[in-house]
Amino acid sequence: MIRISEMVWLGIILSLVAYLSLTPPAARADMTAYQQSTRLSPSDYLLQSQESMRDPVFDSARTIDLSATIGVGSDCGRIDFKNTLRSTLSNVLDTKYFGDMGKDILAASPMLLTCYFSPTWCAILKHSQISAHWLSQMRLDQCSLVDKYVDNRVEDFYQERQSCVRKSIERNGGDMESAMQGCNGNSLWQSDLSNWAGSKNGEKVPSNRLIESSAKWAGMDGPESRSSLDLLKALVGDTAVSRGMVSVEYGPHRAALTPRTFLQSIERTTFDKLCGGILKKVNDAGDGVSLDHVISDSDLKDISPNTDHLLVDRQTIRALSYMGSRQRAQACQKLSDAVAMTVFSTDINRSLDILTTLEQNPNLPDNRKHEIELKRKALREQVETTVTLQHQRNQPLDTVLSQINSQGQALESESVGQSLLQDAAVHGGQAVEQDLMNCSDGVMCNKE
Amino acid sequence: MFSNTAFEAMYQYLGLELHAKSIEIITSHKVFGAVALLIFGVMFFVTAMQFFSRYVPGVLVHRKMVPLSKFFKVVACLFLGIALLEARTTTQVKRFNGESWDKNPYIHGQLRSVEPKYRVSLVFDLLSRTAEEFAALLARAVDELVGSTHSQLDAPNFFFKAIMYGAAATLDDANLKKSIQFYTEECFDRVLPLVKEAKSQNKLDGFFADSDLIDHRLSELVVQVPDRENYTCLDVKKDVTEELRSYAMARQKDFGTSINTTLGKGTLHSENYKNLQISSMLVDHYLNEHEGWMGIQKGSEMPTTGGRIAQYLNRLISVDGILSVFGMKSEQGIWVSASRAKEFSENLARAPHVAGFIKMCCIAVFPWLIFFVVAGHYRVLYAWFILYFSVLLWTPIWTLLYHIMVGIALSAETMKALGALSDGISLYSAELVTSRMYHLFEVYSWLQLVVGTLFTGSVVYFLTPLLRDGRSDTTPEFINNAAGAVSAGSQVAGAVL
Repeated sequence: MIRISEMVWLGIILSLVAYLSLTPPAARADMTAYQQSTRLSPSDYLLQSQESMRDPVFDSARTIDLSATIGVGSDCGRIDFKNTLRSTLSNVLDTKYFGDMGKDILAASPMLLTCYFSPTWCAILKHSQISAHWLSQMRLDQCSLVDKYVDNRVEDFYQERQSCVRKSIERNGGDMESAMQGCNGNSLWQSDLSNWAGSKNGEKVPSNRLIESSAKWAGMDGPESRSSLDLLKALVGDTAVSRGMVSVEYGPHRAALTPRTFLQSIERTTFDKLCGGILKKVNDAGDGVSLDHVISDSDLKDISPNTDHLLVDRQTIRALSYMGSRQRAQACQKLSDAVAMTVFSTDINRSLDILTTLEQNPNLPDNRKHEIELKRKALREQVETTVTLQHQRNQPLDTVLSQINSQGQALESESVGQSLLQDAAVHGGQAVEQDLMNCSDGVMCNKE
Repeated sequence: MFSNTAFEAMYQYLGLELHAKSIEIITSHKVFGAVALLIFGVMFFVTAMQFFSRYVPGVLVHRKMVPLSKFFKVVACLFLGIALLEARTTTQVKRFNGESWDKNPYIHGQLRSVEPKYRVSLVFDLLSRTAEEFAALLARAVDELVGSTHSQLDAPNFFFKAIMYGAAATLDDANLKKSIQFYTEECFDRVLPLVKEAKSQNKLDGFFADSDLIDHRLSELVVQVPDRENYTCLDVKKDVTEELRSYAMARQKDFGTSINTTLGKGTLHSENYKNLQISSMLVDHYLNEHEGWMGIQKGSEMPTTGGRIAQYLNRLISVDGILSVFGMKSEQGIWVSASRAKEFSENLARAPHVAGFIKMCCIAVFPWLIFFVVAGHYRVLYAWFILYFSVLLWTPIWTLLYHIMVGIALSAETMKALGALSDGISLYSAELVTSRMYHLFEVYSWLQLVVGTLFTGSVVYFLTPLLRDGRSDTTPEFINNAAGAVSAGSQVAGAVL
């Protein structure tokens, strides 16, 4: 049974608690004047960010299509002597590249020309007991040479046909000519390729993609790894080999991303969310409103969606809100950059891990494995360079600015102190003069 | 009435003003007249009762033989008391040279209206003038007998004040400060290592005073300035010292003349006083530029030449250095001279204020003695005289003390320093002189207070018993006897009834 006096006391206590909780803290109100300050302390310059967030060179780039149509004439089986071999034969057959093998081909060229211009004479020569072996040998040497000479983008098709030719030779007892004819000699580019994703996903496919197919092989084809693969494609490009086409795809980004532009994009996004979103909310809410009500957990999570924990907490937001306008802007940008760097590190680390995994794909031809390795190394170098340069872009300038301001502020303070001291000393001197020259002794009088 | 300081004169004027007001109040309000008459009536009645007790039977009263002259005394006291209020003569407050204080600017700054002469009673004039003249005679005798530099009565504390005023000189010309800074940083470091042979003299002084050795070295150092050719450190020195002298002269105004006339051809004259001012300004400048709070030497942080000079100057003055080390002295740099001068002026006024206040009380309370005098306690006038005279004697005592302290101050070391100042600018000498004077006068100011109050206290303590009556006035014995008889009769009647 609660007595009336107890209820009165309870009411008073509850009113007091409500008053205290609803009344904005005095210190906060007192900070308003400071928040108008545009001056920075020397240490604030260490919070300054020199990141530009945008790079017009890369930002203006549109879809980059690096696809290449494999031209007729660069095939071993269909050498366009008129347009290719003849014009570059002297270079190709330079002994400094190919040694004595070039001489053999040079010697063979009249016979090849004969085959090209007169099938009859060529047939005679081909079936000749004398020259058949020699011709076959020369043709293989020639093919080998041309394979090295032509762009490696079409190597997959050559390898595919070589495999086919080898199997046909085994079947027909060594007749290479018929084997080549049987292996789409005239429509090499229309042939299907071995599936880089592994035979479990189909023996032959019309097209292979270096990253995507390898990811499929590695089991990274789920929705969880989609964004990481898309990022990887944007960073290093996905080489796609299809019928007669070799191209590089960049996934949904449709344009190449460098680590630096990727970092800039993260910084831009984080800055917009943190400084343009969350802090603006805090400012708009004004004094006396709890941050818990203004900022939700999802707002904070949204700053770094790919991380397990919150990179920025409410206490940090509260600290930012107490800062002066210019100081807060700088600190917020620096925080955005730091958060972006954390996100960047996470994503890049994952991308490198994926590349390392994809490199293990046994279904890839060696050159493609090597290509992934090169991509991984290139990406790592780019990232290292980006991080190093970003550090160099910020720290030296910030440190120098901080030191200059520290020194300048000390000297300014010294100068102000001296000025005030001098001013006070002059007034003190005048007061002393008034005291000593006050005529109290009848002699020392200030006559003025 | 004599006074050698305006502080005492002000209180004397206040006392005279209160004196006149008191007379006016006592005479204008009937109640005071009635009280005086009542006192007189009581005294007359008591005297009459005592006188006539001889004619009453001894069984009734205790006879007391009071002469008829007692009536004369009572009446005389009445007239004496009335005479205290009869302001028919005048008095004035003047310096020991006879000049009245009523035109003094300090007095006019403190008091609203000052009359040249104040009307006082003959009795007051007689007593106060007697005391004043005797005290003045003693003071003059002491002043002339032991006086060294100047007359303490005509120019009180002038020697100390002049030095402290010169030490408080502040350099507030920004261009001149820059010139000194330029000269210091540009030339000092380059010359000081080259003058090792000049061991007998202060090397630093040579940079501002005449010094052939330093001047020769300075002339060898060319200073690269855009608008001058063949500009040497010697030229910089000449420019700086000329600027300093002009600045000091402008600040000195006609005070140098006062020094020459007041001190005569003594130790301090306008020329070395100017050098003292310049030296003090330079000392303040270096200390101010290179000395931080709590004695932290800025020079130790920024090893500039000016900073090192400040360090050496501060070490020279051991007392300040010790106080700074223990954090007992918050004033540093430019504050040292200003605070010293401020404290000096406060010390200067302390004892005269006390003396003047006691004088004021004595003068103001005098008319109110009528009630004691009418009551027959005419000896209160003696007591008043002794008290007033003892306070007046503080002046000759202080004069004696002052001359003793000046004599001590002008020791061989100080005289040597003043001699160095006569030859030119000397930072060390200026610091030594001002510091020595400051500490001596600090002692002197406390001695003033202690000796004065001790003297007056002793006089009052020893002479007061002599002024008391041998026998106090009592009611006639017959009244007591009659009262006893009536009391006994009533007791008997009560018992019978």
